[in-house]
Amino acid sequence: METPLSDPHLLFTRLFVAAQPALHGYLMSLVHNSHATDDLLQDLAERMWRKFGDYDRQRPFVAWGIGFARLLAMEWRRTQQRLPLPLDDETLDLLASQAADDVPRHDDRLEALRACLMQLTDRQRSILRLRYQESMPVAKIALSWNRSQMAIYKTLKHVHRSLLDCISDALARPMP
Amino acid sequence: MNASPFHPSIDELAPRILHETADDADRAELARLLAASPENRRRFLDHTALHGLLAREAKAGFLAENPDTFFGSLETISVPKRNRVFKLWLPAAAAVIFACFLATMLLPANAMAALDRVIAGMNESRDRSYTIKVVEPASNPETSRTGRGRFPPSNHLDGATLWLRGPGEFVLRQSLPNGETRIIGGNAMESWSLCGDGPLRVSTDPQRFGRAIFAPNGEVTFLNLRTQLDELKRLYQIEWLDQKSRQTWKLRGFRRTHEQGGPREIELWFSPDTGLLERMILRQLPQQNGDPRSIAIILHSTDPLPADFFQHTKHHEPGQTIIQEP
Repeated sequence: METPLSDPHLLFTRLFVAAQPALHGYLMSLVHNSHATDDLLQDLAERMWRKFGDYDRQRPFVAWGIGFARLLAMEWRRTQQRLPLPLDDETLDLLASQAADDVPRHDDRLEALRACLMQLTDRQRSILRLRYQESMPVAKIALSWNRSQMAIYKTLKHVHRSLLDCISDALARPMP
Repeated sequence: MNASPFHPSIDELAPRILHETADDADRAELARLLAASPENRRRFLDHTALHGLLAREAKAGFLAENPDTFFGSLETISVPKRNRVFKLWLPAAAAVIFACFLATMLLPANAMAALDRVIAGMNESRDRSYTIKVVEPASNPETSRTGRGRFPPSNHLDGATLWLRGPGEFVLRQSLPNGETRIIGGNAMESWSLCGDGPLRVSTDPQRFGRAIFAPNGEVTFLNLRTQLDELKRLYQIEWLDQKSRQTWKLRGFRRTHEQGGPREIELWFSPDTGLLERMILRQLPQQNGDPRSIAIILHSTDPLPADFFQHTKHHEPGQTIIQEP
């Protein structure tokens, strides 16, 4: 009977599930759209699985996946008539390189974010839930809360800043 | 997440991009700032990382209404002791989970993501021929329109053929009740119209001759299916109609409000592999001048068309009288 580590299906599943959040973050840094990132993550899994036979197990799986993710993101950008953020090739390459450098810090950031989310007010959590969990556009949140789009956007911007500051502080603290 | 100096506008512009409230000026300014310094790019990446993390955490339930209950329920899940039977079942169960996992990954995450796929398919420069069918005629047909005039009569669209290639490239051919044929077309730089043996009318406005079909204010100009599909995302509630078939998946959109024009309901059939739009059904169209209640636009060919098919010269004899319009 095959063990999980000798069965390529099980091994791939285990590695991809572990790497998925970091690869999702990397794709998001180049695509800038949540729906497109979700779709590309599916394409990425398919492409990596097809090439899994070539994977060198001595190499970090995430680093191997980033090569595919970068290619997919660039392909996606080339096919879009209207990009969320048009960038010239040089800037995009620089952004991709810096994003790849960030990947190892992903797990620490996630842990810090979970703690920081607990510090938000109920109203801030509500707006994040509507925007991220319900995928509700800013305009629709504004309509349902009877507020202007600008007011909703400002709240989201403020929450982003608070969370970034909180995460930055947490990462700067020495490990206990 | 980073203390290096960055331009303060990054904190303003990045959330606008990520929450889809940016305009073209915002995009241009952010692109300029990102090209300007590594500190700006670092801060922008902090924002995209946070956005991605929040999206994933939300899906995992970390933003649930009552986090205490949510986390509490996780903590109280008992972990069964491993035994021999469990070990025997583990590989089989894992194989099933893997199959489900891959199947889930290969399906679009939601209906809106599937719509993005159709839009991406539409943006490919690929020759497509569609036939237009009137599914439900007007309840009170208006008979005085003969097909003369600058714009094509929408109430004679049944059986018309629509050819598309890249953005702005279209040709629509209609047979009119008086036996004449009307052809309108565009190549992204100009549009043109030819009716029977009349003069050819040409405009530098790429949509001039297609704009009036079904909606004078342009919401339902299905000649520009790309714009139509983009509008779907904004104005319609999208849901799955069928995503089980291997050949064709179906989406349905319901208009969110009565304030904007356009059909009340739109149905899209498309290839799950390529995103190619195979059928588009527009139901409960605005009623005016005898326009039909519902029409269907049905793909009948993807055969390549001649390279110059979207130039007006391909559709008339040399020496045709040309009237230049605004």
